[in-house]
Amino acid sequence: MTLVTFSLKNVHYSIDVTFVEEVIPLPAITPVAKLPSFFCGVINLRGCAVPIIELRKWLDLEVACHELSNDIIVIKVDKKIMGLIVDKVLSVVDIQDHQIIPPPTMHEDIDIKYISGVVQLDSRLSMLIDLEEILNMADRSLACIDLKLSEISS
Amino acid sequence: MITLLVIMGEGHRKNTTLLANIEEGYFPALQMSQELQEILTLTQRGFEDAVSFADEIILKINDKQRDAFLSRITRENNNPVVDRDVLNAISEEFQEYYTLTRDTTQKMITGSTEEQLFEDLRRMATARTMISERLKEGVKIRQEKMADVLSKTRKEYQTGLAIFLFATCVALAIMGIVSIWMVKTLSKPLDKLTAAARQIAKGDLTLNVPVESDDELGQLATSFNLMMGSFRGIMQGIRDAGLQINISASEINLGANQQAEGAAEQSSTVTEVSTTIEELSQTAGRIAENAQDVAQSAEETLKGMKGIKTNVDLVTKKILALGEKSQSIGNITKLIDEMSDRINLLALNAAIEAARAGEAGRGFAVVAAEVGKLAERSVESTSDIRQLIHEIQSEMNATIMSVEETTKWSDKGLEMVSDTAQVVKEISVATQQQKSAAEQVVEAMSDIDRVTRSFATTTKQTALNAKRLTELSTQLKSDISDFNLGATS
Repeated sequence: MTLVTFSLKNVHYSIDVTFVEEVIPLPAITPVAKLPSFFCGVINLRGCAVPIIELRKWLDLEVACHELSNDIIVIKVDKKIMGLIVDKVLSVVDIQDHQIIPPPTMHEDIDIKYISGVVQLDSRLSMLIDLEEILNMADRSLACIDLKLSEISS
Repeated sequence: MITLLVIMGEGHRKNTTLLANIEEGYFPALQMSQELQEILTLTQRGFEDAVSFADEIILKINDKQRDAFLSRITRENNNPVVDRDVLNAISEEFQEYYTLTRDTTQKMITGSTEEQLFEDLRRMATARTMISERLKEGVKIRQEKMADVLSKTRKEYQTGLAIFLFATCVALAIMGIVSIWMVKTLSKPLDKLTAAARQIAKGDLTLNVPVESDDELGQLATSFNLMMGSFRGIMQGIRDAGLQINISASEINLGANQQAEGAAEQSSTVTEVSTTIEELSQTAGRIAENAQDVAQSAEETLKGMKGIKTNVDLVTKKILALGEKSQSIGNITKLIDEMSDRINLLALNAAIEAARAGEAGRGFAVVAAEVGKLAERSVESTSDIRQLIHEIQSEMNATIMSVEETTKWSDKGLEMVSDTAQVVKEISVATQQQKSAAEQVVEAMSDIDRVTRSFATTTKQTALNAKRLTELSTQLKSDISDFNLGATS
């Protein structure tokens, strides 16, 4: 399978390339009221409003200020398009399935249900993110406020 | 003599009286007679003219002749030698004649031819002749009287002359006798005085003239002796003064010679001092010249230092400009970095597209990977460039700092050179002043030398004069020794 790797707070993560539409530099983000805190706002991508998710919030990482060098990975899951803010998109790599190892279980108290596995890439470990789980969580959060991602998208 | 003089005086007085009679009496009377004669003639002629012209106006004019005749007679009334009665008689006769003649003439004019007329004419002629005769007689008497008086006067004059001649002869004889006596009396004492004067002329001042009488000659001899006494005193005084002058002149001569020697020594000392001070002045002049040279060098150094400063400023500016340029390069590398980012992103997108295309996109994925590598390399290169620029800038900063340090030092050097130039100028001025002061001293010394020389000359002259004075006093001494001053010498 093919993975797109990126970095967040010096930690490498990766996602399946099949969900990825494209990668773009960070554009101007328009904030939207009443949205949960992991939604930054929306951007204008070739005429379409695309909601942007702050991935660091989801991964319980400290939220730093956004930098101009940050990238956005545009993904499409179940025909829903959204953007993820990452520090930097690193590469597109091909891996074998056996290279994927299960996530660590040392600290049970840590919520790692968004990590589907760990991949060894060039002497560094890259954590494989389960995008479907993340999108479900987002949908649930939005349901609390009677909103759906598709509505925002429209 | 007195009798003779009285006789002479009497004669003279007589002569004077007689001459006065002629002058005041006879001569005017004679004159009157002649004038009356003339008037009478004129009167007669007037009547004749009246008859000839038958004019009564001429008669009236003729009356003036009558008046003249009568006034002429009146004028002689005071004449001492004329008889008053005779004058009156002539006056009456003339008036009678005139009246008669006038009447007759009147008648002749009116053309009367009576008998009486001829009688009147005859009487008239008689009267006129009588008057004329009387006048002529008067003239004759006067002339005789005058001749008599003149002969008397001559006689008196001759007598007086004879007496005068006699008296003169007698007086001359008496004066001759008296003169001879007086000369004989006076010559003896005068001879003695003459002899004494001769002795004095020969140099003997001891002589005394004996006083023999109490008259003027005796007084003269006394005065002569007194004069000789004074003369002796004066001569002794002169001799003593001469001796004194001789001694003093010798002393002056000695002193003047010593002064001249001293002045010569002083002059040579002054010359030495002058030479030394001139050398001093020359040294000061050389110092001044050197100081000026140093000042000039300092000026040039100052100029050079200023040039260095300008160049250093220029270098600093250029380095700063280089810094700015390198900054621009940095900016360009940032741009390149941004572009590399984009390219990298594009490569990633291409890789994503290739992966989604599956087996068909495999070749494209390789190209995308290559492009991504290129972008990475360009980022590495720009990082190297940035590093280099950073090094360059730090080097530049170090250079600028050291240049600034140099500038500071060169400023300090500039200041020091400027101070040096100022000090050297002051030295130059001071040495110039010293030189001019030394020159003034030399001038003053030259003045002193001149004065000393002139003093030496003067003292030499004084010495000469003193010598001459000694000679003169010696001469005076020998001259005075010719005089015999007696025991007092």
